Amino acid sequence: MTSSKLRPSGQVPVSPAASDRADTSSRDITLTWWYTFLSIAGISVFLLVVAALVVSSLINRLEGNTWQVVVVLVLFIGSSVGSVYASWLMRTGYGAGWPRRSVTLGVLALPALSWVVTLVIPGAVFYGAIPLWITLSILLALIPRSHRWSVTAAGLVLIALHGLVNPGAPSFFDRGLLFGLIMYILFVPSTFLVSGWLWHLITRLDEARTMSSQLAVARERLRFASDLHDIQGHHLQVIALKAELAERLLAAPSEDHRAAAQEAIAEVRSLAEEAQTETRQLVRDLRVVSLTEELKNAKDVLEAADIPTEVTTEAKMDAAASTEVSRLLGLAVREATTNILRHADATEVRIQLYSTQQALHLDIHNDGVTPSATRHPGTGLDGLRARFRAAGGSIHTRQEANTFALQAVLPSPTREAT
Amino acid sequence: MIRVLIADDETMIRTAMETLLGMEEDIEILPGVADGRAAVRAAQELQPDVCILDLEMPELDGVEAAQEIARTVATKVIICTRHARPGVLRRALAEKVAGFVPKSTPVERLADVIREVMAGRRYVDPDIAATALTAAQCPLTDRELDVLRAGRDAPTVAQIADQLNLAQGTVRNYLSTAMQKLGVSTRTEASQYAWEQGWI
Repeated sequence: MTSSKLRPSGQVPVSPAASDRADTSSRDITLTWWYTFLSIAGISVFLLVVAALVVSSLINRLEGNTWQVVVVLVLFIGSSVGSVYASWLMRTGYGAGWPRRSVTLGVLALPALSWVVTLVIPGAVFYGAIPLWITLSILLALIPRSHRWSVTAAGLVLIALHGLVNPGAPSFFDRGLLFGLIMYILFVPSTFLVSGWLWHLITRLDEARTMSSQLAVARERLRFASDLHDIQGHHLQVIALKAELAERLLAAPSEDHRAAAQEAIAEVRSLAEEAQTETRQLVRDLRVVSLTEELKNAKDVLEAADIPTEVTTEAKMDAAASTEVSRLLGLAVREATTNILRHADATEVRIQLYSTQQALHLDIHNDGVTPSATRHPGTGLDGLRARFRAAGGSIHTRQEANTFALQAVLPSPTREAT
Repeated sequence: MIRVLIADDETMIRTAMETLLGMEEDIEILPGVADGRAAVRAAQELQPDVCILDLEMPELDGVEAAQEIARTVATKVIICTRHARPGVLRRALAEKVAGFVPKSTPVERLADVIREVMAGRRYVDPDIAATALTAAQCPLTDRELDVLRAGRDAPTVAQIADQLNLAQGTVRNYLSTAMQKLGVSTRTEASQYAWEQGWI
């Protein structure tokens, strides 16, 4: 049904301003991800290209065929596509387990083939094993921690096996490249693992931050709900009792009883009104806006009612105003605006907010005051006077011909500070 | 006699209001209606002096009905609402609504408001005015608001696009910028939020 959907949801409003912070933080997270991904993918592609060039030059030196060079280049560059893809999987898959079997096999197929093909190129003992080692190193970040040691061990065995089977292994080690080999074995997997871990950490922190802000919203809702329950529950209980009493009294038709019933019903009515006032107050207290925003709203609302409105504020005012000051001045703006709205004849409103040496001033002028309108002076004006007096300020009103002026004055907060 | 028409889909409240207002000597109650469309028809037919429209009604909401009524009938409109959403007052004033009162207004006072409105004055409840003045500023553009408004009734993007004569991609763009501005993750939430703020 359409109408039921139109009812208020009772959700506690969440300021749209809160989303600004979430935006910057999600942008930072995206940036961090690209940095992580590009560094892992970049390092692996760089190492694969270096290895491909070295193996190609080995083939050239051995006076091998051009097709052999082509095969090696294709295999190594193909491996780099797989390693870039595997790095991409880290975005959501850190520590989540092996990728789908087809993906795992696809990513490992070309490196494994490179491993086999380079067995017959003397001296390719280390470079031939690089594609497999790099791909396994990236997978280390994806697989569960418990699998990591066994995969590392399997990779080491494959490197050693390549060295044992490859005919050029002895000369390779003679040239003292063993140190470089050990560096590679340590450096590659640890770099990838640390990058992946940092990325994972950042996403975890972001999740925690999101959860804590959700929790704050939930807590606020709960507080609101319990306040609401206190107000409504209390009043409704008394209302139900009084109504029951009135019902009983009306059943007994004596003059006294009827008077008592009438009294009970009057009480029910005033209790219901009280509950409504308190509930509205509760909802209104949730909204806190700056004085500047409130003035802008006043202009919008008045202009919606076809009353041209001019608002002038001193720029430094809003910054200087404490919460209490802007709350009081806000009340004055609301009271004045409501009164102006009621006299349908205003054609011009001027609102000025300025400070002098001793005080903050809010002046609101309007025209279109008809004698009849003064029959209903704003009931809130007296309340406003009392609140300003309590804060050391004052409210002055002046009516001349058909114009009305309200002047709110508060002692300057800067003077108090000195 | 001031001839008054009341439109409210909550029948209990409407009949109670009608009975209580009918007790005033200078007020005559016309047969009430339960939705915005019927309110417009009844106003055109009966030419009441004052229409009291509930804000949340099926078919047309109070402000929309007020707009239609103002276009065709010389009658004063008072909008009555249970829950004053911040931006609604602005919309109502722009439609030349003469009065805006919460449903909690005692009927005696409502009768005074009717008299004030008949005397050519406007009546805006101070609480409602306060709510409007402490509203969050709407960060959305007119187009984004159109899309969110259509999104309240249309279940799919295709239907919104159809309703507004826009391309689906354009609708998606408006929805996603609106969602981003409001800091919500679904378009339903965005529509709901915009509605709660009274922007649509």
